[in-house]
Amino acid sequence: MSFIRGVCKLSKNIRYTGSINSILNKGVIGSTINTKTTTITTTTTNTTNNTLAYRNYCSSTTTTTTTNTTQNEIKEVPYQFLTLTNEQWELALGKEVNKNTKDFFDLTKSRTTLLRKPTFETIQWLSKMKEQRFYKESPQDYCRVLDGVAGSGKSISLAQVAFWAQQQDWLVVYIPNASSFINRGALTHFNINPLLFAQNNLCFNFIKQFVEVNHAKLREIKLKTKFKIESTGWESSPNKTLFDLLSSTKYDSSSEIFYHFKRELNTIHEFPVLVAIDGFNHFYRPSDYGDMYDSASNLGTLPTDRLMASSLFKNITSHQISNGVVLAATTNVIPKREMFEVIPEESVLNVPIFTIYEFKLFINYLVETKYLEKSPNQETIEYYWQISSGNPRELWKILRILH
Amino acid sequence: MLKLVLNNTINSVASKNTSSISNGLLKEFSKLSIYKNNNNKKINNCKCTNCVCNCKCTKKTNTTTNTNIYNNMNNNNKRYYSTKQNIENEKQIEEDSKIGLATSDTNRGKLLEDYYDGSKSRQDYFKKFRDETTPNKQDPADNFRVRVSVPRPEFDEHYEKQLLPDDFADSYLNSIRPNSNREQEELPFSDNTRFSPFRPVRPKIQKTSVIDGASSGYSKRKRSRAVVSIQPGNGSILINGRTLLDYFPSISYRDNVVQPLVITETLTKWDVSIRAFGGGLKGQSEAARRALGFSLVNYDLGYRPALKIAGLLKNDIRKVERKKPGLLKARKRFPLVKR
Repeated sequence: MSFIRGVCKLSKNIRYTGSINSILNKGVIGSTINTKTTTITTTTTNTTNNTLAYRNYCSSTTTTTTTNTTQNEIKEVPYQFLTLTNEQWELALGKEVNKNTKDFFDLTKSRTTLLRKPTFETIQWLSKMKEQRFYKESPQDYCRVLDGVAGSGKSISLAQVAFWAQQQDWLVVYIPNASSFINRGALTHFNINPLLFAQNNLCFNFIKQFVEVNHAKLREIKLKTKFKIESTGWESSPNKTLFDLLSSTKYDSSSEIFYHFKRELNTIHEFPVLVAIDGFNHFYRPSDYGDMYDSASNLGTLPTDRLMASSLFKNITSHQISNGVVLAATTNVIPKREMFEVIPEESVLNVPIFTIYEFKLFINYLVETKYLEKSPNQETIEYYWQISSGNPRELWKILRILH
Repeated sequence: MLKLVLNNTINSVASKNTSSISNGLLKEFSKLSIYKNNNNKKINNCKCTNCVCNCKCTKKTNTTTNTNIYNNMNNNNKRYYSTKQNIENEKQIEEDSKIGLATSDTNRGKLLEDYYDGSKSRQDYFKKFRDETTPNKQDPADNFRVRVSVPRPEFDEHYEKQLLPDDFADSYLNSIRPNSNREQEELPFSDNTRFSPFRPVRPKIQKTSVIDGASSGYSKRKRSRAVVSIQPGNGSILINGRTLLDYFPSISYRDNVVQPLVITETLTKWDVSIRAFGGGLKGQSEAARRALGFSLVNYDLGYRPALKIAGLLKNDIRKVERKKPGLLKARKRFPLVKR
């Protein structure tokens, strides 16, 4: 079954555990494009500064040069392109998507993304952790946080890594929008922990979607903890699997099952586990609410520590997942100051804006895939890059408007 | 009646010119004082020697006879001159006669005029007279024209002449009311030799100004100001420390800023740092555009023709027109109400 059209063809039965270089050599994730030295044509005008009112103009000449920076950049970062359709996205990561991604899917049938340096660095880190069997030697081994300016591609990088992990048979718990964990649904009392409020609506939808995406892997994971669902009377046993637990979910017992699912997630050893959270700084949103027991107040002001779902995934610097790691991406909707007080700086990966070279690669790929009918002029490419300040989101807008 | 008759008889007698009768009558009438007085007056007019002698005699007799009625007339005359001033004048006349001055009427009149005017005192008059009548005394050296030795500075009047109050007054008056002729000297149009023809306006020499590898430009639009500095780099554009996308949300404003780089085809050549303040976003973008053009010209004059033709160096002085009284806005009138 092929998940990637035009770029990568992947067999379902192939499973690979190795470094990124070997991945590239075997061509598991698509073929490399533009790995050769790129020739850049530039126009230079030989002019000299002259203090006189009248001066002679030299004729302009066209030369072909290849800069050292370009060569070094090509060797360090093997740029690739990933094109996903809406169906492929749903099969791999679920129906619930980020708002921006959903807007793009509504406009176009497929979404082409450029695999950039932050993505490759994250994949290297995941491969390294898998090699050392997720043994945490330092605080940096617990988590990674993707941070950058608005529209630089943080969510896209997170989705790319999640997709890569899905293809590598990791058990991916993908949370596309962290704000829903805080602001969605009604609240009820949670009997297991009286300090927490249960979120049945959120948990029910999440478990349902998770089972649809990962039902095959869940059947192979056996339960390792002993518990009993009080509302339904369901009891765990060594013979039962995680799929049995999640498939028996009902609305009233969804919060309790979600709680035990998180506990089971910490003990999984059959598959490597990746928890991908988008908009992670929503969990550190400041709250001005005082009474935790009054559920009739404004839901938006509740502290996240008092909500069951967010409290389970909030702690990422010292999480208890034994065979997995956490990857998070920030959002610029709310401030990040409170989050950076907790997250160490070494765990943060910066997602830069597009360089002019990356933008040229992207344009060339769009021309090759016939998304653009003709290649724009070099001055036009530079103009688009300057107008958008190298912002990938803004570049997409300009391309859709002007072409 | 007797008085009238006597006068008539005297006249008739005199007209006959008889010597024996006139002498006898005169002797008879001489006994009367009335006749004496009248005779004196008439005799004085005659040129005969006898009349002259008689006048002298009569003067003496007048002093002796005080009982006559006609003495009152003399007394009246004396009374006219009996005031203190007249008495003093008489005394002065006597003194003058002693001195030797002529006692003519003319001199007397002058004295009286001077005295009554009060312009001079009597002593001043005498001093003046003495100065005029006495000859000038001269040094004997001047008479022989002997050359005098050069005096010492402290004795030289001209060498160390002290300024008198009049000298300060002259300088003060000159400062207050300068000479009217000086205006003609000061005005250039009055002197043909100083006139110079008008010179044609020369074009300004354009120069580059690159300091430490960077050049800058300044411009303003409406109420906005912008200062731009450029230097060779990777093509980053920062406005007040923020990127172009963060600062200008609209694509048209961003296009305004980038336009000089588009025209000069140097989009990724410069690192541009823009500091804009005042006004709104539109004004700031247009001010930054012109300032960026100036900075490019200051770095290299080769960019000037292209920017000049595109109009990016031209100052746009348009501003919001003020509201006028009686109008809703600058030119919009209030809506018409027919009823």
